[in-house]
Amino acid sequence: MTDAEIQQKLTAIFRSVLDKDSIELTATTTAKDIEGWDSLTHVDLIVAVEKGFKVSFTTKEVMALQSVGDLMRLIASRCK
Amino acid sequence: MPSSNSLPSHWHIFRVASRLLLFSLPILLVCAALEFRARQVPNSYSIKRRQLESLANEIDTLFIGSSSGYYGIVPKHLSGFAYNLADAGETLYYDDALATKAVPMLPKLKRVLVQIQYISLYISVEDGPEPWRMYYYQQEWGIPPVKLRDRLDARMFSRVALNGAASLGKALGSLRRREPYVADPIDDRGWWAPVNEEIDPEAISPAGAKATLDRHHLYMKAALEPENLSYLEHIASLLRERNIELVFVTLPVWHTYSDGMNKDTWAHTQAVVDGLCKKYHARYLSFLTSPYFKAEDFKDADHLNPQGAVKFTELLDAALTHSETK
Amino acid sequence: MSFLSLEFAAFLALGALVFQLARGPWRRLVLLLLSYAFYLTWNPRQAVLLLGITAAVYYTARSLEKISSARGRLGFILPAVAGLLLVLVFFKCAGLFARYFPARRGGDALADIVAPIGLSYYLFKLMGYLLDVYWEKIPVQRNFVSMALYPAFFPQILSGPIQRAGDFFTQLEKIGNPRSEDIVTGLRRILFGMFKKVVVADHLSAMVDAVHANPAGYSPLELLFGGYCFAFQIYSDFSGVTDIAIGIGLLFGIKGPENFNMPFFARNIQEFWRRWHISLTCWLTDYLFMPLRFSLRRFGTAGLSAAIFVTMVAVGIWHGPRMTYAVFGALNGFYMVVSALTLKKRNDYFQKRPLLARLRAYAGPLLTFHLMVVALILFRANSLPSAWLYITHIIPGFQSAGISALRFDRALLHTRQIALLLAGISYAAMESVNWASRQNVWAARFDSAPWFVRWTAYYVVILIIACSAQETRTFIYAQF
Repeated sequence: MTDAEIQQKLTAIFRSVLDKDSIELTATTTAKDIEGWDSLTHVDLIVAVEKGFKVSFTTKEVMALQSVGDLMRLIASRCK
Repeated sequence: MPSSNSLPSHWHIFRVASRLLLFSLPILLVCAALEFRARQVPNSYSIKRRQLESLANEIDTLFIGSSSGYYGIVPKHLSGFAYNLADAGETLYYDDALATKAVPMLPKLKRVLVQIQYISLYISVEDGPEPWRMYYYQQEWGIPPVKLRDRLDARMFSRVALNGAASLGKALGSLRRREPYVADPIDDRGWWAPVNEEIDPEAISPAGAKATLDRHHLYMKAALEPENLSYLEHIASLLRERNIELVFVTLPVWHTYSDGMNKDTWAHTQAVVDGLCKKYHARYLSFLTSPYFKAEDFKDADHLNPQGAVKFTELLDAALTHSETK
Repeated sequence: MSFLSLEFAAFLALGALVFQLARGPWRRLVLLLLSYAFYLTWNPRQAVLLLGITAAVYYTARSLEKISSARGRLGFILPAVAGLLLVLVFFKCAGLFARYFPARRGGDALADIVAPIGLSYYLFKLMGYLLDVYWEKIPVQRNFVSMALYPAFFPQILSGPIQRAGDFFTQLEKIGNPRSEDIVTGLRRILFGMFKKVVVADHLSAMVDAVHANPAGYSPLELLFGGYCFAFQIYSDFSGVTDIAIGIGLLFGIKGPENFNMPFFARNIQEFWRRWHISLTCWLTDYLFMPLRFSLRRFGTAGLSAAIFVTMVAVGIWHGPRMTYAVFGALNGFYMVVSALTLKKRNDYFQKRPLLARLRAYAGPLLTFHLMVVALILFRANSLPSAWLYITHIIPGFQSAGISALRFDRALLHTRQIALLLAGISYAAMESVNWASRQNVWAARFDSAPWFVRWTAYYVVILIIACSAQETRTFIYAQF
């Protein structure tokens, strides 16, 4: 998958899980920028990402994520 | 305020510091004024110190001890010219320190009476219920607290810090109204002499005595015995050097208190005092369970009331002169 | 040295002066020496323990750098974090163990073990640091002075806030360039914190102590009132102490994280815990909840509930090995699970009913506040039976015989009408200033007011604090 495809799919997942159609993601977006993205929904998002991209992450990889950019890179590394 | 980028750092610190100083100036002035006023408020320590100094050339008998003696010995009923230097909550460290300071001041001193009670060998002020007394001894007598840690405290020199806000307010109020501020009702020889004191009849009951004993047992620590013994030794050797007679005295308690005392502990204390008497040619007069005293002589299980105090002092005087003429 | 003592004021003034006069890297050293000097006034032996644990963590992190294999790193970090946790559990529970097994040899020695000052705070900081290094969120700290300063930083060691290593080290880089605004902001914060603690919190404690000492002796109204008072007391006390801690930190160029954000206005329980003791709940969220939740993600709702519940119980027992704290945590766990599972449905329900939604804006905070008042009764209670007695006796009809439901006896509550009025006014004033200071428009207005207006405000506050000062009670949170 290309980066643009990943970003598109990811945005769709975010919009669906957080129930907000207005969400826009960039590489530098963090949880602070998006209302509704808190510690409780964070894991829901990751689970949805795992299902949507058919990948599986380790705890360490998830804990190290700081931004959407990190997440996209992580997905990209799995989808090779 | 401008950010630090535009000016060199030291200049900044100087500006901030000088502004802070200016801001604190009124506060410091008010604190200084309060401190000055607070020092004019008398307390039992300041009163006794002044009395001791003014009577120095006449005193031939000095009594040192804690509240039992403070309430229980009436100097005017002792032969000669006696003074009661005891204070509430005083421990052997302070007995020793005061003796060391007072004895050289009194040219006519012939005899010193030192109080020994059930708790004497096992307590200290800093580990007791009223540790703040340390700072009164420091401020009025220049006697420092035993532990170094306790000396790191503003109450070492600040009367405002020591008195606390509430009591300071009351004291200053009476000063303003030009009334005499009465800290303690002390007579002119150091005896606590309240007028029309209200006595709680429950205080000498078994329950009252038990409450007192429980409190005493809480604060008694065996580990304090060695240092308390050293203070006694120091007093004894100091007096022996100057050929001043030393008499240990135990004041009477009501039977509800003595029944609850640990017999072994008291026997040990008595043995220690007897040992000191032999070594320093001193005397020990114990009136602990004297049958001469009735319930009406006590204000609580281990303190005499003024009526009992007069009775006791006369009894003590008789014992002292009797032994002399023997 | 307590924060609220004249000796500490002298220590702080001198220390801040020396710090400001020092240049560049010397400042870190001065701050470290100040921190250890402060700790030594509490307990010299425990200072050695602190230094030892810090050194162990320093070397562990640096060794971690050299290991590249994932399993190697895990094998290294797991015992380290477990070790720190064990130290925490040991000190907290030693006294407890001695109480339950007194006949055991060495039981006396155990009973004398007192948890070192600040243990919960500095161990959490160090565990967080190790985990952040392991998860590669922050670089390893190479400078030992900086490393030693992190857990020992004296403004935060007694009662937090629990600052993250990354945040702290980043700010530490910049303390060579102080900003004079920080000093003024810091002093204002300290003043405000003192007001909260001395004027508001300390004056509520008499009533709270009275009702908790003998819950059966009070009417439902009095008990409810006592419940409210404790909520306000612990909030004022702890947020005041946090303000003082943050203010002192600012004098040295370090801004600590906030611990409170007007928590009693939270609209639901989840929001409450994002606004109360923020640094602790954030820590437990990031280092306990997230990894746990992620590991349990295959168990769906059950996994989520378990993770929430365990985390909230941890919040409870962090305060100490007492049943009341554990049940406090469990109760909050229950609140949180119910709230989390039903939030979406509740939001959908109210979205369709705008009138009810407007009511919800007021009912939500009110309900949340009352749920927390009940939980806080548990927190404060002297024992579980006492707490149960308290809570049941609030229900009208369940109180002791001879007490009317609406009795409000001021004498029994150890208070007077004037004291109640003053406490209420000062609390309201405190929260208003709190709110206003967060609004930029009010903060700007105050800053641009002429100096004599500002100084008069400061003098008035200082006067009020001086007149209200009683024997300072120890901070509720310093024993943790």
